Amino acid sequence: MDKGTPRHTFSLTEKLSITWLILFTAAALISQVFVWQGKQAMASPEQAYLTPFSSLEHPLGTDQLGRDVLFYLFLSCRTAWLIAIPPLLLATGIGVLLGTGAAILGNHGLKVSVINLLLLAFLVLAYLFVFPVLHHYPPFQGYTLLYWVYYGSAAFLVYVVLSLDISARFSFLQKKVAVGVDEGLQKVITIWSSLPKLLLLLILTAFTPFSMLTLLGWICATYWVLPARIARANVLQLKKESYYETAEALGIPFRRVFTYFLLPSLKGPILTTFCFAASGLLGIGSTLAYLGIGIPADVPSWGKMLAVARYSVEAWWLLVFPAFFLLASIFSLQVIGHHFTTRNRAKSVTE
Amino acid sequence: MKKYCAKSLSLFFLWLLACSNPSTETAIKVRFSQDPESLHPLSYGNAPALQILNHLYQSLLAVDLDDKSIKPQLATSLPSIRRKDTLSFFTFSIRPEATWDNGSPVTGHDVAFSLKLLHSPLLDNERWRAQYNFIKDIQISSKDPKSFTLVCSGYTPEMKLMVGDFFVLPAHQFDPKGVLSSFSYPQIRQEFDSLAQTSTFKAFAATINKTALVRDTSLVKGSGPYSLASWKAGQAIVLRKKKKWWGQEVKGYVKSLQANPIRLIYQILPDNGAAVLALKAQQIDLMDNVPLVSFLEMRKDKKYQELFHFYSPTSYELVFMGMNGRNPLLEDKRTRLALAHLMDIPQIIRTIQGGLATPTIGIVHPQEKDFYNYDLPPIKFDLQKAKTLLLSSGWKQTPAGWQKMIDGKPRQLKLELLHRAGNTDFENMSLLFQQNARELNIPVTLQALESGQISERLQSRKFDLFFRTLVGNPFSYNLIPILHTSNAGQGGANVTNFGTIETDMLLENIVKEERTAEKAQMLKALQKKTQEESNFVFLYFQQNKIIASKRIDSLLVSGVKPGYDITRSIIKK
Repeated sequence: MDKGTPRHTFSLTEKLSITWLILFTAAALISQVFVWQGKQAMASPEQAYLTPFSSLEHPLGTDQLGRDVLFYLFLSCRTAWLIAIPPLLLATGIGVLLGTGAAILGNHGLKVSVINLLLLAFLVLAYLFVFPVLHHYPPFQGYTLLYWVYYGSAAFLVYVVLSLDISARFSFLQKKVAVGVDEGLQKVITIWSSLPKLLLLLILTAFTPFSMLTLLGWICATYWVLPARIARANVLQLKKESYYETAEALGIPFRRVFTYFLLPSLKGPILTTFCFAASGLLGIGSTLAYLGIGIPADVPSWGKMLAVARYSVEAWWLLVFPAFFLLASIFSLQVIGHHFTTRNRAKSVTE
Repeated sequence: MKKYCAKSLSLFFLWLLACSNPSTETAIKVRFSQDPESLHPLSYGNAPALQILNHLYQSLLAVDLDDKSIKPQLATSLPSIRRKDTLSFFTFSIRPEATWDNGSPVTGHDVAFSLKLLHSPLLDNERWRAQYNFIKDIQISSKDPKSFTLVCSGYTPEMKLMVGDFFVLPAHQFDPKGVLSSFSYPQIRQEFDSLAQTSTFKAFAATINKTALVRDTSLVKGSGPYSLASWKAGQAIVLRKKKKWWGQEVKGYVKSLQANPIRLIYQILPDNGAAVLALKAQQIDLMDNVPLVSFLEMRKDKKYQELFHFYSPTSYELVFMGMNGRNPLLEDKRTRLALAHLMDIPQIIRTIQGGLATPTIGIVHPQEKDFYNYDLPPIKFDLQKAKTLLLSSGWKQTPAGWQKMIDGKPRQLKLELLHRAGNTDFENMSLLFQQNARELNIPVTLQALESGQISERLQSRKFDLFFRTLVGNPFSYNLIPILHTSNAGQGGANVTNFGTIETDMLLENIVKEERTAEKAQMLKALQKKTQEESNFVFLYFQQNKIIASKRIDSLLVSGVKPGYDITRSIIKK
């Protein structure tokens, strides 16, 4: 199968890209440490709009509030990284899970008995009713993560309820209903992907107060679609392969089938989309900051500096440096993504 | 191929742009940031619309932007005032020259018609009905239809302008059938609800509300010097001076009746960046509210110094930080004063505002020499002072921050500062305030919100600190809505919970007082009180940034809205 393609040689641009991304991630980590220490780019308005390369103290000059541009851009790496990587990892995980699930289960694979469905409906209602009570219960008040913890636990309960086998005891409710998982997911995907992502994010962020956490949540909620589609398409294809059928016939547990038979083939396309989606998210994150949406005023971001630059023709450094950081990061991710694609193509049997 | 087409096309457009000559015609081009949307004299809704309407229609009295005094416009002179019991009588006479476009004279009957229109049912006039509720009746002299008396309930100094500050509309044009002339003014006010049911009023309202009156060039016309030549929505509005206008026959120089430019073009350019480019290319002659950085950069540049005049008149827009006095954390005025000491106002003005702002200690503009309290020193940026104030207010410094027992519970001094999303000035000031507060170990979170959301939070009193702009004017000191305790309840405009019995008395008396010395004394006392209570940190009055082409001679620039008056300008050859 291996056609002798050099597997681990990187071109110069790829090497540069990897180096840049490592530096970018390191900067993000270091600035996270700074945030824990409470360090920020100090504003001293008297020193606003210093030109770059004129003093050692501010090698890249200062912005409209006299903050050091270099330090500001350094701290912005954390924001950009936080917006692009963690929510995308989560979204990819969710997407692969949903897509694989839909492909494997199809429209008839999941059968739930009526009693379980009734239980589920009851559970959902109870959850909706209890939340306001819990929310206003004094010890929990002002605890912002409560919302996520609460509904996160609901997902676990749904799993428990669906896997409960109590129908045997109630013969009249034994009848099983097929849940159209595939069709359901397809419909959600169609609706979700009919809206442009930036527009969707703009609408969603308008509903919630500005904070990084909600923005990350919304990104997660919009970016699971593509991985889900890719996972579904791939798994549908793989299902027809003889080795998969053999594995199934041998009765190998699904967990092992997934890790040893499905995942190796899924990995390539998923990594490619991850890189492209991450580079897109860097752009979208900066766009949101440029528009002044979603990212609070005290969180540094490249997009914000670009927004300031728009008013001043003379302060070119407020445009050039953040644009360079942004473009370098985007291009690096694109180059890496491209690397994965070509590698996949080289490995593919059906060229 | 496609690419070449696109490239050559864009080059061609660039070339066209570069070659477009600066205008040499007789029109003055002014930038509008917003379309007027409606030019209906009753239901217009924004500042650009009012600016246009002021060229088309006239009032009995007008404010002279130059010295902010009240001048007669359609009236020959200021009204004679007579007071009797609870009533006051304002007698006007209209200029003998004043005529409508068809040559018929402007009379008291037109004034009566206009007043009736402000109070008629089924029309979009709620705000006017409330505003002119004090005018009880109009008595037109039987000998001279140009002379009439307005009967008003009570008397306040504000009435001097208000009584003549509505557009006088041509009755023959708005109501050719004379529907309103068969009802008296008091009758329309008293029988408001029953008249709304009648078919005559329904038909009349339909003609007045019709969309043609909003934008039709043949119907939008009054006694003013200009007529609406064209209006391309979202692009431009062209006004042309009437060939025969009655104002030119008035003898002597009357300030309120000047109209020199032959043509006025209002270009609608919503984007600030685009407007600055148009200004630099001399495609517009006048732009106000120029973004600070562009203003400073152009003012420095020799090339633009030759082409433009730069003005920065102070305006009546007051920027302040408000604090929620009802919040247990901020209930004590010493805590509020401590926070006021964290604001470095001179630094903000010097840097963020580029020096183009007027610092103030209170709600009165420093320009109002009689009323401004010069004896009050401004609150200075002083961390040490803030610390002592916090300690005296009962806050204790702990490693976790400032703590105090409130209602039996330990509370930490942790604040949230609201500001409008997208307002860079507010954003920068918030960052500076946050940084200063951090020096004292007071955590401040910044929250950018849409202005609707901010109003909601203010109304429901769920906030700690906020930045806002208050638009005032030099004519009235009716501060009861925002400072009186009767408006401090849910939904009232006194969102900071300011006020004591003493300040309530002051506010009520200021509105009534007419003598300058007494009023000044009370206003000064009020300024002292607002500073002591510190529910507000008054930062500065904004300065408008106007750039005007040197083509325009004798442009009048003012702090009163809209900030400039081009009617007295002359275009240089």
